Amino acid sequence: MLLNKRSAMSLIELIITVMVISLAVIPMLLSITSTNVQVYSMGKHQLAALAARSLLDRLMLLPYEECHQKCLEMGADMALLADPEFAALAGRIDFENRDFDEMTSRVAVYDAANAEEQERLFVIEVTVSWPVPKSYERRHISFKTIKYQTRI
Amino acid sequence: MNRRAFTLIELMVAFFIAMLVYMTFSRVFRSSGYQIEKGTRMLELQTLLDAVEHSLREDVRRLRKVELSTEETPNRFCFQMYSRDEVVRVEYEYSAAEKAILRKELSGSEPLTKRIAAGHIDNCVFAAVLEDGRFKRLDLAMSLSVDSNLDTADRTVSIAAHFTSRCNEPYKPWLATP
Repeated sequence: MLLNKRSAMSLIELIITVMVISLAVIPMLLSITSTNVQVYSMGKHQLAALAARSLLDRLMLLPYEECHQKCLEMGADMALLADPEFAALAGRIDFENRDFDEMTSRVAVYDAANAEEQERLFVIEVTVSWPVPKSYERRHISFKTIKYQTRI
Repeated sequence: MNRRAFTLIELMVAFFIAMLVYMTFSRVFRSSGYQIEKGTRMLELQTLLDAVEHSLREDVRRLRKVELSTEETPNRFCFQMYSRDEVVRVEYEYSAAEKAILRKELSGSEPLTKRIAAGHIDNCVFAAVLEDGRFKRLDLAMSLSVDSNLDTADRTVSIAAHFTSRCNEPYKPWLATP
């Protein structure tokens, strides 16, 4: 008779069941949040590349000394929308600033290794970065090119 | 073998737990579907953007001479460019009616027209920057959109970009004198 006695589920058993189910579901929810961040970042990547390439093209058009000076001036992080030429161009259409919000650019200059080459060329690196949502992390993309004093 | 039936409370608790599990999984799958839709729209936008950028960059890098100032006609940009051993005339025009950029190659007897990103360009402005009468660069501001069942920000994108050419510089030994 004792073997046939069936007790109801206790509170502890119920809590353990809920915890086990939660443990299975939480990684799935985290995975979805992670996918969201990846998709967002993927979209920004191409825009950032276009912005970096445009900035690099603009710098390359400048005469050698002026280009060097301008690159040094742009050595600190600067909001892309604060760039007067970019802002003037964007102002010509109903531009959606949201895509470039918090996107920043920075220009680095690397001199050649020896004195002789330092007078003839330098390397420009343009980096555009953007924040990853819900995180302190920033992603970035950069392009490098060589600026020659005289075209080779 | 005395088997007792489930009580109403047991059934309700079981139903409640089943509902909780169902709602959680339903949310997971709905969210996955949303992300897939968002990703697809974003990919579509990027493909369109890439098509416009690639076409303009390829042509403008071979630009020889601007034929039509964009100051009065910001929706049109006409220029000569090097194509193999000859100079050809190319015109880019934004058609608001077709929501497309039309690329016309005007060299032959019949102009070749190509529609780029048809049905997706909401606005487009060209601005050729000239210095001392010489081409310096082409500026482009454009907004693109795609249709979506979702009301998300990823249906539209705006860009501002510069395109340069070095073909009009004095030093060009790789090009035949036109």
